[in-house]
This record gives sequence, C-alpha cells and structure tokens, in this order.
Amino acid sequence: MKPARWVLSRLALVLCLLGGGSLALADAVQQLDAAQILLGDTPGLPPDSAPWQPQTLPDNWNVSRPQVHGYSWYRLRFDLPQVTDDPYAVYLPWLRTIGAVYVNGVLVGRTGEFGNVRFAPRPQYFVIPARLLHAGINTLHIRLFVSEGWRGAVSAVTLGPDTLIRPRYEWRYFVQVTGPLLSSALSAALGLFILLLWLGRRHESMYGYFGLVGLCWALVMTRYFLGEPPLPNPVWMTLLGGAQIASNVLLCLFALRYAGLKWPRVERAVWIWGAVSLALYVGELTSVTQSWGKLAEYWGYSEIIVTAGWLAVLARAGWRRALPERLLVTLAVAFIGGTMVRDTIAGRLFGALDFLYYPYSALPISIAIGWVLADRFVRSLNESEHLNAHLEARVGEKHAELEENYRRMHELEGQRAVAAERQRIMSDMHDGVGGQLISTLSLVEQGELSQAEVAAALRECLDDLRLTIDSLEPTEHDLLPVLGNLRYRLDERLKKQGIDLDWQVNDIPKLSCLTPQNVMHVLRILQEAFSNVMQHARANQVRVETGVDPLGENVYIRVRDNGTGFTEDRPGHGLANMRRRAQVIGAQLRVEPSPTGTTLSLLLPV
Amino acid sequence: MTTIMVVEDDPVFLNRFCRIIAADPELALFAAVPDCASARQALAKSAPDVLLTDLGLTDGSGISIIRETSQRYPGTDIMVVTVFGDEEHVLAAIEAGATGYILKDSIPEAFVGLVKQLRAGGSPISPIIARQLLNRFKPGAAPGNPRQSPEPALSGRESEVLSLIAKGFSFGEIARLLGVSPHTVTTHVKKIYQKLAVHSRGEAVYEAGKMGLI
Repeated sequence: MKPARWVLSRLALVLCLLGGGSLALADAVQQLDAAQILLGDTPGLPPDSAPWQPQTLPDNWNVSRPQVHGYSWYRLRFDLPQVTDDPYAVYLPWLRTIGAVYVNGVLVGRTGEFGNVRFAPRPQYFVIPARLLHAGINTLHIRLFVSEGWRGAVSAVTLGPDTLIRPRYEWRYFVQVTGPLLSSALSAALGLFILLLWLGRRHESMYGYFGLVGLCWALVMTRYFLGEPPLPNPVWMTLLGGAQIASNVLLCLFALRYAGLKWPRVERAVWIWGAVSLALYVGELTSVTQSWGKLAEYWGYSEIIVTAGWLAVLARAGWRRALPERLLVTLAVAFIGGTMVRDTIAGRLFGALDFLYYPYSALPISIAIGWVLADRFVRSLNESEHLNAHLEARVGEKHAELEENYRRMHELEGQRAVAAERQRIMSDMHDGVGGQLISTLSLVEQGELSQAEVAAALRECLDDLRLTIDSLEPTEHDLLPVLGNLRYRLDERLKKQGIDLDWQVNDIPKLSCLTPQNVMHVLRILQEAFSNVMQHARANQVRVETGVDPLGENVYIRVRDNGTGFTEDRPGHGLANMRRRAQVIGAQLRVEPSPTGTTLSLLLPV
Repeated sequence: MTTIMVVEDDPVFLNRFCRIIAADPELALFAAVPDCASARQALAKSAPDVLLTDLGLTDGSGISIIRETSQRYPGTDIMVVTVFGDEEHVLAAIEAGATGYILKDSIPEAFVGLVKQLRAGGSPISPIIARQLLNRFKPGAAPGNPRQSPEPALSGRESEVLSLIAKGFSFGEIARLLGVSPHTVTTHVKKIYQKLAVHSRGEAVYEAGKMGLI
C-alpha cells in the first residue's frame, strides 16, 4: 500500500473519530486476548467438548512451548450487541507460521498453504461477511500450523467493522513488509553504487566493504517481506544466515578502515569468528542433535559482542569527525544499537513479536555513509578546482617573475653589448682612423706632403672609417656580404691600379664566430692583405676564393696575387698585426710566398 | 643633356658637386640649394632629371624631399648623398623613393658614372644592402612589421641578382653568370628599389589604417 493512501485513510479515521456519531463505531472495535488452545490436529473444527486449555493472547511459542510443532487450534468468543449490514473484519498483527481463521464455523481465510514454511510473522486481515455474524456470542477459531524448527506465534485478535480496522492493518503492513522491502531495495542500490565507486578506487577498501555490507543487508532483509523462500528452505536459510554473518564481518572491517585503525589481529579474529559462525549456523540447520543446536545457540551470543564492537568503533570514529558527519554517523550507530537492543530484549525476554525496528537500521547508516561519500567527492572536486586555480595563479606568478627576470637580463645584456661595442669602436678608432689622422696631421704640419698625398692619406682615413661602419652592419654571421662590401669599397682603387680581381667565392655556412668585433678583425686582416698587394706586390691580378676545407672544419678565405712575393722587411707591423687579429678570433693565418705570387689564407672555424 | 638639382647644406660639397656638373658637357645644373624650404621652392613648378640630396638638412630631413619628389615627379631619378653608404641611411632613402646613392667623397669620374648609370635605368648597390633587401622581401620578415605583406614580391630573377650581389659579385660578373648584359642587372636593382618603395608605402598605409589615420 502506498504511504499517501495510508495517510489519507488515517486522516479519514481521525475525522471519523472526531465526528460525535462515530464514537459508537469506535466502541465496536474489540481487542480479544482471552482464548483457549487445543494442541493437535482434528479432521474438522474441534467440538466444544474437546480438552481446550485457557490461553492468553499474544501467545509466543518461543516462550510458551519452544519445542512443539505441528497443528493446534485456538478458540475465541466475542459478543456483538447487534449486527449491521456492514462487513466486519478480523485483524492479527502477526501470526506464525500458517493459520486459517473460521468465524462461527465458516472459513474466512488463511495465511498460506498448510505444511509450508513461512518467514516473518506478517499482519493478517480477513473480512467477515455480515451474514456470518449474529447478535450475541460468536465464535472464532484459528487453526495454526507450526513447521518443524520454527516457533509458532499468534497475536491478540482485533475485531471490528472493516472500515475502522483496515487502516490499522494497512499501516502495520506498510511498516512490517513494505518498509523493509524499500529498505532492502535502497540498501541494495546503495551497495551496488558504492561497489562501482570502489571498482574505480580499489585502494579505498573501506568502500568495497561497505558496498558488500549493503548487498548483505538487502539479502538479510528479504526475510521481512518475502512470504515464502524463493529457494529450497535450507539453501535459502544458509544464504540469509551467511549474509547476516558476512555483514557483521564486513562491518567490522569497514569500521576499522573508517576509523583509520590498523588492527590486523582483530581483523583476523573477526574472520575466524565469521568462519566459525557460518560453520555452526550451517551445522545447526542440517544437524538434528540437540547438543549441536545448544552450542550454536550459545555461540549466537558472540554476535552481540561483534556487533557491539563495530558499533563502538564506528561511534568513536564518527564522534571525531567534523559536525555534520559526526552527527549523522553517531545517530546512525545509536539507531542501530538501539533497535538491536530493543528488538533483542523485546523478542528474547518478553516474547513480543510486535514489529521489529531492525529492518530499518540500515537506513540511517546508509544515509550517513552515503553522505560521507558524497561529501568527500564534493570536497575532493572542490579541492582539485582550488588546487588548479592555485596552480594557475602560481604559474602566472612564476611566469611574470620569469618575464621580469628575462627583461632584466635582456636589459643587462643590452647594456653589456653596448659597452662591448663602445669598447670595440673606441679601440678600433684608436688603432685605425685615429692613428692615421694623427700621422697625416703631423706630416702636413711638417709641410712634407703634397696636396695629392694629403688627399690620398685622408681618403685612406675615410676608407678606414667606412670599414668600421661596415663591421657595424647587421651581417647575421654571414661572411660573404662582408667580403663583398670590402670588395665594393676597394673596387675603385684596384681598378685604378690596374689590378684585375677574380672573385671566386663559394657558398659557406654561417659562422658563429662572426660577431661584429670579429668581423672587424677579418676586415682588417683582408684590408691589410689587399693593401700589401696594391702597395708592394706589383701584381696585376688578385684572386679571392672562399670555401669549406675538405674536412669541413674550417672556412677558408684565400687571397692570391701574381706579384713578386711577400716581404717581411717592410716598415710598420702589418703582418704581426694580422697574426694578432687572427689569434684573437681563433683563426689561422697562413702566408705562402712564392716567386709567382703570394697566397694568404685565413682559416675560420665553422 | 641631364639636368641635376643638388640639395646639400655643406657649402663646400655643394660647390664641389656644382663644379663636377659644370665640368661635364652632358650634365647641367638645375638648382643647388642648401635646405628643404628652398628645395621645395625650386621644385614647385618643374623637376630636374636627377635629384641629389643630403639627408641631414638644417630645416628637416632629405627623406621628405625624396618622398615628395618621387611622388610628384616619377620621372625624376633620386640619389641620396651619404658619407658612409651605410645600410640605415640608404634603405631609408630607398624606401622613400630614391633609386641610387652616392658617397659624398666620390671622385668626379665615379660621380658622373653613377649619374649616367642611373639615367640609363641602373642603380648601384652594396652587398650588405643587397642582403638587407633580401631580408626585407622575405615574406613576413619586414623589420618592425611581422605582417605578411601582399605588396610586390621579388621575381625569381630579382632575388637571384640580389643574392649574387650579396655574395660580392660585380654587375659584370653577375651578367656573365646569368647570361645577360650588365645593364640588365643594374635595371633589376633599380626595379628592386622601386619595389621596396612601393612595399614601404603599402606598409605605411597599412600602419596608418591600423592607427586610424586613414
């Protein structure tokens, strides 16, 4: 029955009770607890003359006759002041295992096939047609069958108009059957979900254990809503008992993980307990010996210890968590503990078979653990997002820092480069045009130069200056344009002297050593070489070659003339300067004089 | 007869150029002025065949004179006068529309030779400038402007000529290597210069457009 409908019917009942005229109806509901019992079967309804014994209801055979099974009869009498056309009904909150109800000798219904096993005592409800009743004393018989190994139970009987007591039955049915069904389904679903989660995160065995617990609970709870076992009884009972034991073992392991406790000995003990429990349980089911059963019964108390153990561990661990989790877990533990104690005391000590809370104990703990999981999930997502944002910020910071560093380095580099270039130009001016200007000036002052000589000297100064300028042009480590420019500068003068230039340059790789400073050195060396050719060699042909030597280690620049050969005994220190410059740039300078001309080679490392 | 105008703020050199022009029967002086203002005045009505200008003038840069003249009088060949023939000055002048440059201290024969070469459609070029031009025309490699320019690219022959010049070969040698006349080589160079000017104008327009000036 749907809860909504139940609420409506309850509401209807309350309204009914509030209305003045229905008070009489409410009075019509009778609670029958005085009965007679007749053990043993009879072919039909037992006669009044049979040896009936008085018996108060509820009658729990667990207490009143634990070893008895088979058929028996209950007889109840009730007084009806008048009979209306409205149907009556009889309602038993619980009955075990199979029962049939007769009113005034006529069967009004039964709870199942006689001879079968029935699980939990379920609420029973039978409608009594109005024609079966009469004013005055009526008789109600209950035929009870208790299967072997089970204990019979008959609750007090409620009797009254159908419309009045049906809601009670329906509420009872919801709480006792539908509720556990929902609880079991929820438990199974949550268990499966958590197991799937665990499959993705195997190292968090806590979730694996709890997922299995959920499935075990779902199985155990079937006993509260499944009327008949879906498998042969011993198999099904073994399964249920096994699930019950397994759930306890798994809960112990789960509780330890949840509490972060590493107690390998306790875990081993729990496993052993589980194995022994299972063995005894199966033994009890299959064995007929009394001693075995007794042993199993005593051992059964150990379950209380185990359960109390994991409840305690869970409660302690839950209590240490932050507030919402603490509240949820400790409340769930308290609920489980409370229902267990309550159900055990009610069942064992007082024999009450009023409805059990235990089937609902899975709900709060499932909600609590579900909440813990969801909370962790959300928190880890938030954390990872936060971490990402943090990382991004850090990366941004580092990036800015690096950029700043780079900028500073770049600035320093620039300053350094400017300083180096300044230094180079200074020294070049000093060596070159400066010196030339001074010597020209002194010669002019002494009046020793003709106008043409002054012009030539000054032109040389200018050429020298242009050489410096050329060395400043961006060359990108490319030697050929540098050589070309030198040629371009010298062409006019070579032509004037009647020297034919044979330009035989081949492509050469870019030279990493070709910094502006080194370009200057190369230019000066070659300038010196050309001026030697023009001034001293008396040549009419110069050949310039470039290329890579066969080993590929050096780039060569060769200046070959067809003059009278190179002489060292000239004024100045031309050759010495050339060698010094070659050394500075890590190049080799070779001068090979011969009667047919001189070859000057400059070898630059690739 | 080739008419020449000289813009030069140094009176010594102005005189020197005037003398060289006067000495050659094929050349005639159109005007000789010391600054931008008088140059503009001289160019107000008509233009010479060849304009010779220094860059650093007292009342402005020769670049503006070059730009104005090359746009108003496309028939005029413009040469920039430079002390060192360095890349920075020469390229700026070429970008403004010059098609030749001349060293300030050039001997008269060289001066006359260059003017005549220019009139004949040829331009001088140094290897280092050739190399810079190759870089300029490399797609998207224009300095200070990473934009891929759609403006005239070099023809295969033109870049061949440029790269040979960059290796130091003379026009004569290049002509032999390519099997053309030396004159053809120099006209290639002039065309390259003109392309660079167009190229630069295009970039200037593009930049101006970007800055919202046009």
